[in-house]
Amino acid sequence: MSDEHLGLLVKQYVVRSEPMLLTTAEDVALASRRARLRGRIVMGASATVVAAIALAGGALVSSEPGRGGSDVADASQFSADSYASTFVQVVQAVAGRTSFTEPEVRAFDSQDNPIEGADRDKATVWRGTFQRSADHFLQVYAIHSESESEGQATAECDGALKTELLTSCVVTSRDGAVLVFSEGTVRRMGETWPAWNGSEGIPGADPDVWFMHRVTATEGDLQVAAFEVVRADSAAAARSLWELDEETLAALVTHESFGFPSPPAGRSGCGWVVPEKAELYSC
Amino acid sequence: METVGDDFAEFFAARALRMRRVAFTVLGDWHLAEDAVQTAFVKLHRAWPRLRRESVDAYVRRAVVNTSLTMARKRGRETVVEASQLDAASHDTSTHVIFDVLRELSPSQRAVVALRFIDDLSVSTTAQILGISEGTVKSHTSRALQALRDSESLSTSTPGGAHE
Repeated sequence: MSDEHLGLLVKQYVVRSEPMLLTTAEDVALASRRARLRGRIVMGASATVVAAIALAGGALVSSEPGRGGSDVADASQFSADSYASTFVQVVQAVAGRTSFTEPEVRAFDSQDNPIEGADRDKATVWRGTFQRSADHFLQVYAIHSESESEGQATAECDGALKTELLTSCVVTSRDGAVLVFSEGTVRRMGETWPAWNGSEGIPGADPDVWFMHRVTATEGDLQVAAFEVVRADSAAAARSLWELDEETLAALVTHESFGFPSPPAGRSGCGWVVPEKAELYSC
Repeated sequence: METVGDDFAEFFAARALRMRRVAFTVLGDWHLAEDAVQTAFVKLHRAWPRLRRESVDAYVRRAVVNTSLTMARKRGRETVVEASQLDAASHDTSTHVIFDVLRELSPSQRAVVALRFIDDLSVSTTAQILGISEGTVKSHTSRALQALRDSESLSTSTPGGAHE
């Protein structure tokens, strides 16, 4: 019996008796925060909040229509190449062709694995990154996600402000879309910028501490977000560096061209994921 | 409801099940495995803002394995894997043999088996995560496989549970 055969038997032994996973990401976040609060009481330390906010990433799939749901009448007509090209054209037309260059638009599955080639028509997320300088980026992403009401968005904003994940957050409705305008301090992690926790690094001194302002539009199951991130000494300094004002970001995220077909369901009922990754995902 | 970042939630959704399987292989108890995974992900959640994306996988693997090993050592080898943990539907010959073989291994050896066969890691990566030499990983792996191979009843089974 080969090593591979034995290894497979061990894996099957484990998987066969596997019960449903009871812990959720929310449970983890809550336990994390409780542990932090306990530590704060013991240490008398100043308040710090640790959590990551999504400035990019995948999402669940909803069957509700939006710009990217049933409004895209025929998924078979969708061309990933054309979509990527249009994505760049729209961003550069709205943001200014010379402001943000070196565009990179990529498709991702529902667990944020990059998708290449023909499978891009099964994408859950399209993400475009545009560079003004090494210290200044614009990122735009379109996601098939859960639909969101203005009330939900307001509650999320309130929570993010209360926990100091954001420094400002305003919700409004416009033409059937829920728009969220926000600002915050972030920490660069590769291609993503999660929220800064208030203690890891000092703005202006730590090269990974950046500032962002963002507008997100949710309409049906499609969410489009655009955010500008800069490396600066302070929030005030960052504001003076913004290339795009809020209304320009809002015009970008409500542009009709970002709709794309909903992804087909994956084996576990979530959005499609690249085959070799599918077994990792659990809905 | 607790607010959690989408990228953390996404990472949790993608990795939690597999990490719990790793913990179960070390601990032999799904409830303990769930506890170990929750403890490890809480550590990850607290470290998340300062971690680079490319180091997150290694971080959570180390956290899961270390937490599982600590729990296993506290509870002692005799508590690892109880027959009641096994689903009735899985009570075929190969399951019982693997159950017995894993029970005879040390927690560290089971961690090697978990990372090599449940998490599909290379010898080198397994060694890095456990902080042991590649030679030790190979010897632990070899011992576990030899124990399985030596089992007469297992030698006739095939992956999938069917018997030839």
